[in-house]
Amino acid sequence: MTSGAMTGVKVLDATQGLAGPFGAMRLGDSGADVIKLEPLDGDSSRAMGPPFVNGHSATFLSINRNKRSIAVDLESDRGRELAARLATGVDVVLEDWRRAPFDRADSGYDAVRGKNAGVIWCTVSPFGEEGPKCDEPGGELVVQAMSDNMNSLGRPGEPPIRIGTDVAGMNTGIFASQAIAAALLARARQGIGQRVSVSQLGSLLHMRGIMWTMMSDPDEWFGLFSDHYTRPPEHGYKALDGLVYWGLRRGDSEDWDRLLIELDLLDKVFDDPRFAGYGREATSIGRYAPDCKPIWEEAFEAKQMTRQDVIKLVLSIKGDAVPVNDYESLVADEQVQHMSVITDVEHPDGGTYTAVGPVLGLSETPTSVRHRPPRIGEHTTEILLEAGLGRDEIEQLKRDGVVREQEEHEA
Amino acid sequence: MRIKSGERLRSAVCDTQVIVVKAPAHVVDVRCGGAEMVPLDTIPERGELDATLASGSLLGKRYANPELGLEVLVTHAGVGTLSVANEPLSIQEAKKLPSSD
Repeated sequence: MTSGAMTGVKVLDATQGLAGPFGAMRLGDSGADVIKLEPLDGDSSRAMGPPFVNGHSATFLSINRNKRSIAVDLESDRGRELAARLATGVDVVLEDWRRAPFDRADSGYDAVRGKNAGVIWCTVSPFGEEGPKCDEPGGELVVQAMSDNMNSLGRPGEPPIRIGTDVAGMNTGIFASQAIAAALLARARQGIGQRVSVSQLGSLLHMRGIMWTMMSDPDEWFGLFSDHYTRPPEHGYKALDGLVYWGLRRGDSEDWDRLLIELDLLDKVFDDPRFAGYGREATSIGRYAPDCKPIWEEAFEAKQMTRQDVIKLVLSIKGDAVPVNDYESLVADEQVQHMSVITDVEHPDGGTYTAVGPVLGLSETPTSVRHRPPRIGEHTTEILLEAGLGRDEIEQLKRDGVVREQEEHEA
Repeated sequence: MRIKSGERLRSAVCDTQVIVVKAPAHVVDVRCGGAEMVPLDTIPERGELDATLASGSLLGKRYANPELGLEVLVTHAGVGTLSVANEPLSIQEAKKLPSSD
């Protein structure tokens, strides 16, 4: 098998929930050997739901492939010692801020660094590791609300709306994997390990960075509520058989003229200042787009245009046009199918479920899916053997309830 | 005739139709195929095409006489040449527009 970009990198993932596990999975997709260090009853996301797929959390299934699992009593002294021992033998540790087993001085970064100077130690927190809120618990909606991201949806004068996707968790996972890759590169060049800190709040502040720069001159900011990419609420344009989204892109003045001719709109928009400048402000995220939408929709209806009719016309004038997909049309979409990223995964306990595979393309060191998400502690014995423990020692740890290995019949 | 922007005209000798994009403030003799153009809602008797003004009009193209401040957009193509009196209008190059996000 072709090696991945991170083949040979060993990762200990002690995080739970979304952010850390998603970041660790991305390392695993690139070939890293990711050991998922879980409490005896498993990562909290194993119980996260609904939605469930054949009794398994869809959240857990979607962000924990390409990992092996070891289950340890992380609150006990022996469990903490075991975790610290595992951490001394890896290149990268991911941990959640203030969560066992690395939440004490004798088992945290400083303790491990003494035995593993090159370790890349990534801490994932809600608000950062310093400051007045550093010890407060966080979560997806907490951070969405605090970071003003909820104000990116909705309408002026109406209450904010949460973003449906877990943007705080997922983006923080992406930031974590990027930061770890940067630290690994620094280690390869300079021979140094280091601490890496990512926070959900920081990630979402960054994601809305364009907005904060725009606020440097608020007089230029006409969308006071739902600005930029979601400016203003966009629901798509009605065609005969569903919704399309379209906008003008690289066309020239003749493309614009032809669009109006084809849609019989010349008379209607000729003197309308909202369509001045070849319609750039009358479509897509233009400031007059919401006001002008009924005009476009009426034209589509008068011409009895289906979604494909609209798409064909707009593409011919070098615009953007796509169907507004739902799940059914998304998985049937030719481009999505061509990308081969939505696949069926066989899970011995969870049955068949749909998952999005790695979406990164690396020509020489491709990403891959090598392991389905593990059961709780499915690989406890082999991981401990690799760490140098003897079989008798491992069996004793199991009998003492310090570690657990979930068998198939327990799942 | 006096024309104004937004007005639609048709040829009296071929299928050409235009919309006036820019109009001069004064009377102007807009022709197609050698014959004066008429308002779109007028159905003229079909005249005879001047063979010397038969280079045609192209759908979606803009034609202009910048000195007079006249510009028209062809909404229906035909075989006649657009002109002011007997002076043909020049075809306008498409304007490259900035990409939008």
